[in-house]
Amino acid sequence: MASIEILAFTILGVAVIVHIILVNITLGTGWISAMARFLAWSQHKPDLEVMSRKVFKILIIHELFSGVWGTIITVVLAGFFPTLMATATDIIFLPILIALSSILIRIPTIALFWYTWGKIRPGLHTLVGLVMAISGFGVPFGFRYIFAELNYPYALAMAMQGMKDAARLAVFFNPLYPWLLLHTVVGALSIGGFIVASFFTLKGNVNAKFAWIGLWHGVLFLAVQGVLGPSYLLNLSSRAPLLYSNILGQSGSTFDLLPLFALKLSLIAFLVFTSVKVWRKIKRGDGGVPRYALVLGPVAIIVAMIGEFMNDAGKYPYMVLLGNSGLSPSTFMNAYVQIPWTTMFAVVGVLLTFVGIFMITAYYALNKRFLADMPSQTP
Amino acid sequence: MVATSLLLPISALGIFIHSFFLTISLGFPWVIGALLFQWWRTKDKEYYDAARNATAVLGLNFALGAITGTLVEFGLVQAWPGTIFVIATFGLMPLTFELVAFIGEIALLVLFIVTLGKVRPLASLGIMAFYGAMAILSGALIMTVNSWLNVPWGTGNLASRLYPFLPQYGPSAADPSALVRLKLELVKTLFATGTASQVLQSPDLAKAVGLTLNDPYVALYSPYAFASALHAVNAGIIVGISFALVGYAYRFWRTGQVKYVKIVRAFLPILLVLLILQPTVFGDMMGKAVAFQQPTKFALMEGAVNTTQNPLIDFLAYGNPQHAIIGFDSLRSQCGSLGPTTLGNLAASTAPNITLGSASSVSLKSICLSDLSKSESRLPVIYPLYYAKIAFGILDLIAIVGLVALNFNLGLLSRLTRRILNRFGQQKSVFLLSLLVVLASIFASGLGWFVREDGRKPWTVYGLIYPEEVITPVSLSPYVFVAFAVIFVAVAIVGIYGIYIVSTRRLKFVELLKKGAGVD
Repeated sequence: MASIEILAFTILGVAVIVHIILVNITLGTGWISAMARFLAWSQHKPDLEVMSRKVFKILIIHELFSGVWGTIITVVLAGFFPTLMATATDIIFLPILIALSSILIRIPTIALFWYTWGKIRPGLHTLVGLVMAISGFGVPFGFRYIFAELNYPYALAMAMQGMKDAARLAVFFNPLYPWLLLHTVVGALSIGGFIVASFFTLKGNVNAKFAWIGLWHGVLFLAVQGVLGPSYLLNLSSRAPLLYSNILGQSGSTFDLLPLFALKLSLIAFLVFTSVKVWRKIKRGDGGVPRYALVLGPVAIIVAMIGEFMNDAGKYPYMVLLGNSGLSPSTFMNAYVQIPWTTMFAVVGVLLTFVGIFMITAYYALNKRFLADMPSQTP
Repeated sequence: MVATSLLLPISALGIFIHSFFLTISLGFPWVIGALLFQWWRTKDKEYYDAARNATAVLGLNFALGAITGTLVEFGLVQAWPGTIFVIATFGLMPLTFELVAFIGEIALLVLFIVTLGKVRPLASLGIMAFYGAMAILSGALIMTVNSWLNVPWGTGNLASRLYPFLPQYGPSAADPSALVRLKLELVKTLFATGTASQVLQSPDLAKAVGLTLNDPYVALYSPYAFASALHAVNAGIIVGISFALVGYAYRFWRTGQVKYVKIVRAFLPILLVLLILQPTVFGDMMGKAVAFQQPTKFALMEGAVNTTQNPLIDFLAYGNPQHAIIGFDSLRSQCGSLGPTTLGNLAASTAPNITLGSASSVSLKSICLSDLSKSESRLPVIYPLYYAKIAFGILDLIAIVGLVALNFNLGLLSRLTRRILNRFGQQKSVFLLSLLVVLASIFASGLGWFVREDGRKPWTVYGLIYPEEVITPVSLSPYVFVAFAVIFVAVAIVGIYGIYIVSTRRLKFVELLKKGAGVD
């Protein structure tokens, strides 16, 4: 792969990984917040409403920022890989339409859920929360078809043979997709739980009951991942053998990811071990929250980051896999313009600086409780 | 394929909905900034409370603006995938810089929201000013890309080779033969299959077309883009501030509390200055740019079926009262200079290995005349709407001057205004004038945008590319698109209702919640 292609591939990769980290946080915390709100309303438990609002703050701070990285991915794809983008908007038209429809519902309901808190009937507010949480999962439901096609171009292969109309529907039957989607969604739910557990360990937010609720969410879905992860890997062995070989560092691999895979498994083991220790200390919310519970969320995110990196960069030196070979990024690279890479890297640098500023602001805000735990009484 | 006649209005609807939220994103920083300034100057907490309330509206609105913007962007590449070529070439650098502005907006808005009331007023004012600058930059860069569609700056004399009445669009920063080759591929595929944008999916074609653009920054140098950015962004700011104005004026009318007038007075002078600048400076620049760069649009705006004289318009548009307004008759006669040249001749001279089939015998003159007729067919709509926009602009200016005269002491003007509006009383007068300002602003901006976008038809890229050449090749039931549009509208309505609730309704459950949670 030429250096220019590696640069473009890297910028796309950075954007995807930043986006995936933020999206995992927002999907998971959105679900937990909506559930807490629902239980607060149905079982008349005001403390769960407080939890819902506190957890929702995590989502609010990350959501728009995750969305903008989605936009960055679009521009990077269209700008650097226009032929791939043109193909995706044709063959994967319907899944993208589903994702867009979900975004269309998701973001306004997030804003409504926050700003109508205490201003509309609790039942209606709960409903807004549930719509918000469920619509969030519609986004990966649509977009993960693209990733499935990059790993196993089931519909793209049909399109290349001239069967475009059939391909546009066949995309829904990509056999790799269900496992990828389940692995993604359950991962997000697990990460959401661990993030919540960490959040309620932060100084100023300590709450054993809420941390315990987050912890069991994280552990439960992590256990489900114990089945889904290997299942996805097994599917890769037959659908995307090169990616499978790369992950396991087998002979014929083009990018040895085994050390990274081993690191991921080690971190999962660490997560399980730490969760058990925290579980014993918290005692179903009646005990104390040990400070080391703080690491749960960040470790869960690192695990997801490694997973996404392996899934995307594991195709190296190809962008679209075709069994044991594939189509390299140069196939799709922008041939229309001499991209000014120095400026591009400066822009990526500024974007990442803004990520840093944003993260510091966000965690400072969450830690210092700058976002009101209670709705403001100002009219 | 999906009909362009269906997708064009749906896309336009999406952009209009998005622009509603954009105006608040652009206008409210000025309102909040003015309130923070007054809070810092007077220590009056009512300014702070008003700033907080406006911030809540801005926050919710930003979410709605971001979502509608994302959808408009995705919608663009989904429904009109031919535009991917623009994003990958002339639009690449403006859109890349826009990402910086957009991400900056979010980071700064979050920073502002979480620190408001926790840091000094001037610090908050500084953050809001920085946010406002990012919002303006974002709007200006998006307008740069839109402007490239209106005036494809950097394509040199390419468009004028097809339409002799068009001027040269800046330097020739793109390889003309590569652009012609791509255009001919689009024409060929359109003739063969009914859609054309799918040609962009072919890596082989992309490599065959090759390096098209030598200067990726060229769209940023366009004088048309500069005028458009100033004109459109200022219009957005005016509408956004007007929303705040009418909200507070309504409260004043219903409650009679003078604090609402006090709040209005904090930002009214800003609105006055922007409304004076809009026609006298920015509108003037825009008008001159259109007159020179887009002769068909200018002829539509002036209803110039035939070339005519109007010293005032001629002076304003061309800086010369003797200069005639060029009508469609003159434009049509210029098509004659194309002679008998056909598309086949053009292909033979620029891309000899392209076989155009039945399209090769089509003469460039007939295309020129046909496109002029398509453009002229819009005259009965564009001409009256353009002058309606001008009328609303004048009305807007009169209303804001009246409002300022009513709320500040401007001597004779204030006495005269009060005498005229005496029968309504102060509360109702303030509200009625504010309502007039917001309605006139909305109509002037909305109609202006319609004229801008519809006036460039029959092209998507003025003088170069038709909508049929960029539309999606995916065949879908029109109902899918209509359903999508309906959901879009529904979300916008719910969102606007949410903004209304945020800005008006007091909390119902907060005390119970606090009690239950043991906070109190």
